[in-house]
Amino acid sequence: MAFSSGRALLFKATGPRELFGDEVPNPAQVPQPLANRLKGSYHWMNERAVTVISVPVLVTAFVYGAQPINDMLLGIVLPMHAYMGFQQVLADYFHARRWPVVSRVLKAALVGLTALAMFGAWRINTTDVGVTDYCKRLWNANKAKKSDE
Amino acid sequence: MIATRLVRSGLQGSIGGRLCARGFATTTGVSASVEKPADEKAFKIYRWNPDRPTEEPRMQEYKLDLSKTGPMVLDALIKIKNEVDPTLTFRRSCREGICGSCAMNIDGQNTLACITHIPKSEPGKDMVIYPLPHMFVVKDLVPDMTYFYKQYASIKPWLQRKDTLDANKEILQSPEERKKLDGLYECILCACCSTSCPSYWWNQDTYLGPSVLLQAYRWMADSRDQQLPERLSQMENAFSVYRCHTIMNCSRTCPKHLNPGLAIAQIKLLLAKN
Repeated sequence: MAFSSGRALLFKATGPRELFGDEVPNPAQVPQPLANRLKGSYHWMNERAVTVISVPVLVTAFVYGAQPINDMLLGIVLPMHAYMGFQQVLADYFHARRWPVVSRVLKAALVGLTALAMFGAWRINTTDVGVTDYCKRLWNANKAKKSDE
Repeated sequence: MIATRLVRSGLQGSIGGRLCARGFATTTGVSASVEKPADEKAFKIYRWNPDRPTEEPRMQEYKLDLSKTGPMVLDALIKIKNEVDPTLTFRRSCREGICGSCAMNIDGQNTLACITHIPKSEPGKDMVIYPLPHMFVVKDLVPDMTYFYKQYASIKPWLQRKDTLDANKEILQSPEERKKLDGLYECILCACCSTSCPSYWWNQDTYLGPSVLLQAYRWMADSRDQQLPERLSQMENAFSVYRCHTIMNCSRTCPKHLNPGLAIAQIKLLLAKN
């Protein structure tokens, strides 16, 4: 029995693209997005930068305690860090090519929620006790409630 | 390349089968004279037939006497194909871990069947064999590697020079420059690492995967290549390289003990520096 091309042809007719459509990578082409440093290396370095900045800010909050300038930084750096982390999650799980509508909605929601978090932190810093003391208050909320009873 | 692989798996039933049967006759003869006690082990193997595409894939169990089987998983697969079930389909060629054809998922680990021992310590435990995960299956243990090879071609895995050199002249390299390629040139493109990477499972169409990225770095690190800026700008997007989240399954599973995770980190470093 020699090698028959019949089976190979039959396979082609019921290949993954025929069965599952556009969700399957097209073997004919590998997409080559245009080079954009803002989406590539600059974006990656921004992520590292925000992570590195957040270390002294968090250490100050934990060791030194509440400090107005540090509280302002916390209110900016932490939402940014969370924003970039969730951006990666969305890129991994809700990419535009398979989730054209959902991905756009989630991206907008992420921007909105990050802005809201920053605004909230700014409000707490300017009209309330500041982010560090606010967290302290939340942490001890249960104790305070018990002592009231 | 793909055509060769397809032909190779197609030939399995005819020439390959006979050659291997001859090889095994010797082994059987030796063990018969020693009269070892029967040492049975069950192999559960993924089966799917493209001729009946509506049928669900299933696990088929084969029992082999290990005292009459070679030491490697590939020996067991060949024995099954020769003596038990000739319809079992898998790729194999070199049987010494240099061609990368027999990459498959054995007991939950992507590896090469030909250099994986059948564990003697747990004789009662079944051995479970799947094709490489998250690849389209051509048949049984044969995955469709077409797109993987296309991705490999997309990084232009060849020496690129801007100047025109005398074809009869060598491009010399210092021992230090040559040393940079160690741990990279040994890659056999078996795709064990890429198919163990969750990021590659999720975004196979746009993320290049550890195997192809290790190859990309192999050409970036080569002192004789002159297209580093172009090679790097190809990676300047959110998907080609930055879907790597240093999960490191790639380095853990590599049957050649290479470190694709480190190669990707080096690419990121080059991108940050340039």
